[in-house]
Amino acid sequence: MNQVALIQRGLARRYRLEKRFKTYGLTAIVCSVAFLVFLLGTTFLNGYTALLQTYIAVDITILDSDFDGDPSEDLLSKGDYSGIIKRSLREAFPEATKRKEKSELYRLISSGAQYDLREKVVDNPELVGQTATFWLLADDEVDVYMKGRIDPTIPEKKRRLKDRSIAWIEQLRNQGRIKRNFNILFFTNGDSREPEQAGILGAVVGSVFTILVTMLLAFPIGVAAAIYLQEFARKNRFTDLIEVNINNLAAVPSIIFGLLGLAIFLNFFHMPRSIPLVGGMVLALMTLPTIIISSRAALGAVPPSIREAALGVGASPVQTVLHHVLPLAMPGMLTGTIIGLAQALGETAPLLVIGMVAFIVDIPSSPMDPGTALPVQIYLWADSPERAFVERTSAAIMTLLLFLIAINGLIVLLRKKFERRW
Amino acid sequence: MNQTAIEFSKSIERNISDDPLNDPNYKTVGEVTVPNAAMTTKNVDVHYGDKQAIFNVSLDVGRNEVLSMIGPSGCGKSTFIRCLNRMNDTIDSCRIEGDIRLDGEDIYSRNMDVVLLRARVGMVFQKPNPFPKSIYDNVAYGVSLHGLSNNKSELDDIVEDALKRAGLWDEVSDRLNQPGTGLSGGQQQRLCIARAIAISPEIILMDEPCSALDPIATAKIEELIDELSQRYSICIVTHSMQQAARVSQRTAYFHLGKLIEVGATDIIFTNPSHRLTEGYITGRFG
Amino acid sequence: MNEGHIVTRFDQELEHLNSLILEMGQLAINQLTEALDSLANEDTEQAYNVIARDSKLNDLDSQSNDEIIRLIAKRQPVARDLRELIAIGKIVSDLERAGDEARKIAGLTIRFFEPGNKPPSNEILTDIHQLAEYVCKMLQLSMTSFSEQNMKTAGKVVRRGLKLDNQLQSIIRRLTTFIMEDPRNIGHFIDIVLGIRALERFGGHAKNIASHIVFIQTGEDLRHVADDEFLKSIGKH
Ligand SMILES: Nc1ncnc2c1ncn2[C@@H]1O[C@H](COP(=O)(O)OP(=O)(O)OP(=O)(O)O)[C@@H](O)[C@H]1O
Ligand SMILES: [Mg+2]
Repeated sequence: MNQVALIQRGLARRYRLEKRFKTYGLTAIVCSVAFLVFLLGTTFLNGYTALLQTYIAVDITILDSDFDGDPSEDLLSKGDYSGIIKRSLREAFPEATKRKEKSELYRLISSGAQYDLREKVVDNPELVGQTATFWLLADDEVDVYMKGRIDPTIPEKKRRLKDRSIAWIEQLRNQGRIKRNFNILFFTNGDSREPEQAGILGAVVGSVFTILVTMLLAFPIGVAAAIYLQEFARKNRFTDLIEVNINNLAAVPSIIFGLLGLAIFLNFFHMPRSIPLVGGMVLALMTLPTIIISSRAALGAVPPSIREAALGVGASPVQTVLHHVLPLAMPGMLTGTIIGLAQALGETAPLLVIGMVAFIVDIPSSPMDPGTALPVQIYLWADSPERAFVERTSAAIMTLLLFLIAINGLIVLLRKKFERRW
Repeated sequence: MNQTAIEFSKSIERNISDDPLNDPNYKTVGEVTVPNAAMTTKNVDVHYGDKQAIFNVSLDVGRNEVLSMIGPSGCGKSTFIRCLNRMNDTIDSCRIEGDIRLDGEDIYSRNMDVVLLRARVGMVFQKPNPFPKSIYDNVAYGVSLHGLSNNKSELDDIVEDALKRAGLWDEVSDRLNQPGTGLSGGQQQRLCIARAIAISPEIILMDEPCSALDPIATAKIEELIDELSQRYSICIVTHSMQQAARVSQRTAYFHLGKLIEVGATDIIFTNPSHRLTEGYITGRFG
Repeated sequence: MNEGHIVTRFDQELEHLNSLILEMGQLAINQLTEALDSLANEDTEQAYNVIARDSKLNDLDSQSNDEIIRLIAKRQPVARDLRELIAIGKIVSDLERAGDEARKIAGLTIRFFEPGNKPPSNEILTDIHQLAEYVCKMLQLSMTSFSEQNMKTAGKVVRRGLKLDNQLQSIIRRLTTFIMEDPRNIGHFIDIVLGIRALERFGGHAKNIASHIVFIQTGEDLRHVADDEFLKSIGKH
């Protein structure tokens, strides 16, 4: 009885402690969720407008004389479309007469609009000699203004979009000659100096190639290394040394791997700069320790009884591992791979070092083509002065997150497939 | 009761070392060899690193004989039985000396193929350890691994036969494709036995096969052992005196890594010669 | 094996069983001595008491049997423990039968000295007394041997058993001369021979008990071997 009383006396204190501990945990979770919501929220709020792009309708008359009087197939693509657009703009706003006014007028339309127009004319040669309304890509400043991100009340000197341009935009808006469309360009274009023409596709493709290379290199090598170390290597000083080194490598800053890649792949093997293949190889180096460590843990977690069972019926050690241990360890290995690849996908520093930070407009068509990667693209855009790049940066971040979710989803799916109870 | 004096004089008169644990030349009481043995071991020493787990054990396994090994926990029964199919190879620190022969062939010689050895000397473990695969695959695995069947129907027959002999067929015949891990403990153990006998080994080693089972499942397995002994030699480690008495023809008593006594089970359980054996089986502290 | 069982309860139960046996042994010895007393004192009442008390032995017999069965079921004894329980079961029956033999001696008292019956001459009875003392000592030795688990004492019982045969021979010879002297003694003679026979059996049970004790110790069953071989066998251990 005395003992019961003794226990009861302590109980209240124990429960209080428990409650306090739970509160700490809950607070921590609430905090992190709040940070996450804030991060994602601001990213989304900044970024969702990048999905829309402003277009301006301009009546354009294409004259035979624009092609030296002979609008043949060959010459159509050589026409001065920039001049055509400028002429049409002057016709639409005859009040712009001064040189400075004119150049301001021309700047309403993106410098990329001429290529769009050219394509349309080349596709439809009958347009020559006619007047038609074309929706032309607006300049990024116009776009930003239309999205309400330029405050017309601040002094004119402090903004790039002048009062005169704003007046023209308002005029166009009243005429219904301005509209916002879904921004396909963002998903189909490579990078560009002009924000309105800048797209994410180059970075996405670069990332896909990079991560593919990383996965194809790091997963098999990592798993093989883990299996050898865990299942076959004798325990001695040498394997201990290797183990310590692997653990240390996992903690080495990623930029060091970049420098390693620079020294080995670029300087020694003279591989091209800026290509996803090298990027992937460097990231594979960086990811390997993570994959090896988690794979070893997964192998170690497979109950030894399964190994004994397999050996007991006469399976060779390799058969034991391949038939029984590996399938059971696969979910754990894939989890490690997710972590490693997610880390690699978000890595910037090593890619900077091996030159994947170069300004590349073309979309890479193979891992051997120069390219960039999503996090590098984000870094580049975040560094750009143009107002329109802000939303694109956020949009790129969202794309990266989607990318991560996709990869995670894929591997979770794989893991589900392998997951079995024992 | 003046028991001590009697026991002591008994020991002296039968020429039994009274202190086998400190006697480096201790000689096992009873007949360690049998004529036409399936497996012979001579002067086996086993070390785990610096620690010696088995001291100079010689023991034969007769043909179609059930040999039970008993002894206090940690006395080296598992270590010894695992030497017989080289299961100890998986332990880095384990070092085995002595002479172990299967049908006269040294199993630790270079010419001995471990895979073949384990196909000839099967093992059933203390904890049921079915593969996380279907019941069918569990039994079929070893068979197809060793290429013992030519086609699917032959394999089916072998699986069915093994499950029948393990006394499991009636319970699982309608769910062969369900996971073996979904069976009850006793069924799992019988599945493991079916897996072991499917490849028709010559000797089956069982390390406490019934330690996790209820009396009915235990009885079924004992019945199975009885039946298996018509065809195979069986070594069984058990902590149940009754089980050893029930299933085996010969019993070996291990104590702190030494084989103290071996003899016909009938004799060991009615009139053992060594006081340590007697102390152990009667539940006195020797 | 200086220690007892790890399960001390088992030891206690065995101890209890042993005390039952010793009690039975003591009772059987008392029965015989009292039967002899009644014979010597021509006291039929005492003889009736002895006969009545035989049921006490029977009770102890079944009590011990129950105990043994319970112990076997509960403790599943092996080796020495198993031998001990089985042997005790047999010792119990031997003691019970020895009690029966004592009862037969008491029966003699009633036959001889019941009013209206003709008592035999004292001379004829001396043999019974001598023999009774002899076998009584045998059972006493057996019980000592049991309580000490001492095979040497068991050997003494067997040695006494060896002499028992010789004694019987000479007693029969002596009695024959009595009959020849006075043929009217023939009626008593048969009773006396039956009594002697009972005493011989009593000694036989004592010897059986000794062999059970040897069985407990060595696992050898010596009940059916010749006595000298028995002794040789004991000597070996
Ligand atoms: N892998 C190992 N490494 C080091 N020592 C070991 C190893 N396995 C067993 N031992 C030691 O060897 C001795 C014998 O062990 P073993 O497992 O053979 O005992 P056992 O008789 O099977 O016991 P139990 O009845 O408890 O299963 C023990 O002292 C144990 O500590
Ligand atoms: Mg063991």
